[in-house]
Amino acid sequence: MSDQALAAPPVAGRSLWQDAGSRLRRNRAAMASLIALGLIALACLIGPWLTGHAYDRVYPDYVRAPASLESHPRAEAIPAAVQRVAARIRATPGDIAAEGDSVRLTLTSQRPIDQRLLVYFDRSDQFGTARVVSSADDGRRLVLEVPVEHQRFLFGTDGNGRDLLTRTLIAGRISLAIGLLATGVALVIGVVYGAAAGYLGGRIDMLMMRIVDVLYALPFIFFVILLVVFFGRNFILMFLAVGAIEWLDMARIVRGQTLSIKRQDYVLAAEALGVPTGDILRRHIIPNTLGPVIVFVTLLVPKVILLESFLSFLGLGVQEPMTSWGVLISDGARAIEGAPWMLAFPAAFLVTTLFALNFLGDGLRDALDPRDR
Amino acid sequence: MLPFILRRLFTAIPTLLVVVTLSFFLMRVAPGGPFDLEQPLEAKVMANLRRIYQLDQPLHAQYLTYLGALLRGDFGPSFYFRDFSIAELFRQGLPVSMRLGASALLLALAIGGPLGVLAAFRQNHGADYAVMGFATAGITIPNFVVAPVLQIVFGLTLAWLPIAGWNGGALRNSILPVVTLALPQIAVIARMTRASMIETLRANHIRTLRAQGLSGTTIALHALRGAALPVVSYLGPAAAALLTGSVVVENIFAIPGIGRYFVEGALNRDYTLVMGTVVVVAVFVLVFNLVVDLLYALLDPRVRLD
Repeated sequence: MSDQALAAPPVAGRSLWQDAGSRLRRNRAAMASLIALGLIALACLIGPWLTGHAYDRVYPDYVRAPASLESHPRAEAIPAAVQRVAARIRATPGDIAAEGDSVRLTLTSQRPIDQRLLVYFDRSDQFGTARVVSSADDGRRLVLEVPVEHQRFLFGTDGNGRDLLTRTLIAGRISLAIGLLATGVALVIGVVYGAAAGYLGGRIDMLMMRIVDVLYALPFIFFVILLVVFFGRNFILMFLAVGAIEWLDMARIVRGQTLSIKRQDYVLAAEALGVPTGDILRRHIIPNTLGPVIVFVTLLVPKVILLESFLSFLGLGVQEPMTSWGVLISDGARAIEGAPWMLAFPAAFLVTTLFALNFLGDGLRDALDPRDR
Repeated sequence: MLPFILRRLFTAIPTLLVVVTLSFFLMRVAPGGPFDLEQPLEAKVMANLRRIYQLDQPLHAQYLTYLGALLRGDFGPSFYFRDFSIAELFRQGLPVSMRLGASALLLALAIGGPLGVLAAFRQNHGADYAVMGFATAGITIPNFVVAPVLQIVFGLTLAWLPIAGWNGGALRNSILPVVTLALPQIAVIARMTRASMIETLRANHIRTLRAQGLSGTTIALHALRGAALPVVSYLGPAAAALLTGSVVVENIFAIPGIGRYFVEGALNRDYTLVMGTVVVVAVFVLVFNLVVDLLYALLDPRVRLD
């Protein structure tokens, strides 16, 4: 053996996680899903501040405006809008001429026009404060210059005239938060319960799994409706509770994993060294069950998001003016004939998110369980 | 086999008892009562109603009364649908829901199974990606989106099918709800069949068949027996859920099944209706779990029924 061979750097080992990571990076569908999820999360987090509309701001003049890239009001819609405002001032408009961002027009009336009424221009969504350029005939004839306020509704507006883009993004915050929150609760309970049952074994295991079986036989929707009844409309509490129901599958998966892991030599070694049970669970058992658990989590998040939208469809979910993808979709489904964009955009966001989570879950499964390669 | 079935049915009784007890007390702990209206009833009327429905007795006495009635097969009167007993409501609604659910289940099996097998045989090819894309879409698109879209397309635009109504179970009326119910199930079954089929196709006995030069169909039939196991265990709970009705589909298509009773019963505090639904669903779950175990033993000779 030469000295050179001894001096060579030691072979760097690759852990299971590094291995899985590199396999995941080679999976194009999973990486694309990861990027899509990141973009959606980012858009939902910072988007609502950038759209220029508040999620609960109502534009009465733009109820169910279709989605478009153009800004409202359109040039051809201005005369009609002026007509509407003038009718409230009890005057007849004439010589309407658009000049860039403002409109010049003449108001005439039988009696002198009360200039306080010009506030109606301000109150409409299309115009700003009117400025009187000149007044004639004892105030029966006013020449006005009114600035036009442009609004852009990229996704259109909903049935109350609220910007759908902002609402879709705000809804995304809620839906994603609910998905993560409930899944987190299910994760903690399921992992601890399953690992404890599997590791302790024997009669305790049988009893603990019997409890899970009984809970399985209880109709799930019964629980959910009861939770709504108990917690009222406080959806944070409610989804903590939904998570507290969804842990059953997680507990079964973790228990199965634990049963096989606890026969491994390193666990026996730890037992022989007198490590306390809690530490064995925490240090040796739970970290090694995480592979299937992570896969299950990526599939549980979409399940919870769907569940929330199902509850919203029944009218038991998030309350107005707050909203979630489920609420928007069920509103959109009702308005599908007259305003298809109200269904299309929220549904596209929801379905994209769920698609991405599913592909990510599949990719993680392939990455963590290399048998199927 | 018979002793096994009897033993399983016997052990199901305590489970059922726990389920009934849990849901009875949970339901009673919930605030409000069946006769709470927006305008409160007169105290005297309220007292009479409570006496007639035996709500004035202590809770444990009510529980024992209910349990006794349940043992005799009596589900009690409905608090909300005043003119009906729970048994009558179920006699009308359950066959409708079961027929709908069974059709959806059969459709899902007939389409999802072959799709999954096809995808497994063409793994990582165009057909596989097409099936998996469809399956993912089926899982992710909620049925309350699918249903209105189907109504618009086939009911209004093409005007081929009625958009809602049951019409005594006419075929034309049941197509849209059955398809809506079946779509997610097709997706799940296709995915599961594909996954287990891929695993089975690598097994030694299948390699032997291939080595003998048998045709693809023969190999598929042999592999299917092994690959069906996970699908069967999924189908148990799924069948129980489908046969006991879907709130969303029954709402959207105006179908007189029992799916909506859960929501209505719980929101109106119709205690007996909720309890009846819980019992029916729990019985379905337990029965189908038993059926799954029997099928398992039939499909996999390594599984023994004892």
